[in-house]
This record gives sequence, structure tokens and C-alpha cells, in this order.
Amino acid sequence: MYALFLICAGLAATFVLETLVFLPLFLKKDGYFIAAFYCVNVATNVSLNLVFSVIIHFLGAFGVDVGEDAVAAYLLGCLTVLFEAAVVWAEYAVLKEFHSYKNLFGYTVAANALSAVAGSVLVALFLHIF
Amino acid sequence: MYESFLDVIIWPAIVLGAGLVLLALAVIAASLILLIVLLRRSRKKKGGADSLPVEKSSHEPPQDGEGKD
Repeated sequence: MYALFLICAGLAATFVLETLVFLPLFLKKDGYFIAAFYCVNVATNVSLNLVFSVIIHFLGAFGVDVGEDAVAAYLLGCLTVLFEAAVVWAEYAVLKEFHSYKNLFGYTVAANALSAVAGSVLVALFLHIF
Repeated sequence: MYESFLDVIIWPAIVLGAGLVLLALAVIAASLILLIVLLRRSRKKKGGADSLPVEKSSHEPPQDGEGKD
């Protein structure tokens, strides 16, 4: 249940934070672009959380506690950066098909960076508390 | 003792974990399908908007010498 709660909380936080960054583009009222933005965010966010849940689960099965093991936490951080880069590329490639706004790539990078930092802080707090 | 531990702890955890993974995969698949539908509709709309002037020009009256063999 913790995993479901974390995935839902992460998705909600991503929606709120990325919407704030994309607000200037949303004000141009392209319905298909806005719907595509939320669809691609659901797909990337749930995929990312699923992959990390599986990785953390298997690390736990091999006796590695990410909350305690600094090397494992560092490697997981590096993996997060790589996956986030892939997510930025995927989101930009999809959103560009709907409407290639000026600076769309910049908006995508900024939104995902904000979301990733907030998500990492949320997970670190969660691991620290529990 | 071992069987009861398996029945009470392990199997529900496996079923719950598998259920969560399947739920996540279903959500990803649904969002991708919706994305494809949106992309098709968006392209159809853009294509329609692009082809509008062409349709309009086809209704123009024939120029001098047009339509005559």
C-alpha cells in the first residue's frame, strides 16, 4: 500500500509542479496539447515509479537498504538523472508532434527538473521517516 | 508453521505486488492509447484546416479556357 500511496502522491505532485511550469503554454488554450501533456506525464511518471519500485524491491531482496547504503543511494541517484533525461526526450518528442511552441524543450527540461527534485526530496523524507 | 507463514504473508504480498504492477502497466497502456487517439485527432484537425483553402479553390468558377476540350 505504501508503494501505491507513493506512486499516487508522486503523480499528483508531478501534475501540480509541471502544470505550474507549463502554465504559459496552457494559456494558449490548445486542448489537444494540454490533454497530451497529462497523458504523456501519466505514462512517463508511472513507468519511472514502477521501474524504481522494482529496482528498490530487488535491492532489498539482495539485502541492500537504499536508505542506509550511501553507494547504492548514489548509484540510484545517477540512474534517476539518466532516466529523467530519457523522460525529457520522450516528452519533448511527443509534445512537439502536437504543437512545437518556441522554447518547448526548455519548458520540458524545467518542468521535469522541478518534478525530479521535488520527487527525490519526497522519497528521501519518506525513507527517513519510515 | 511454514505453510501458514506462506499462506498468510508471502502469497498475499506476491498477489498485491503483482496487482500493483499490473495496475501500473494498465494505466501506462491506457495513457498511451489515449495519446495515440489524441495525436490522430489532432493531425486530422490540422489536415482539415490545411485542406480548407484547397476545397475552397475547387468551388471557384472556372477560368477562361478551363473545362473546355
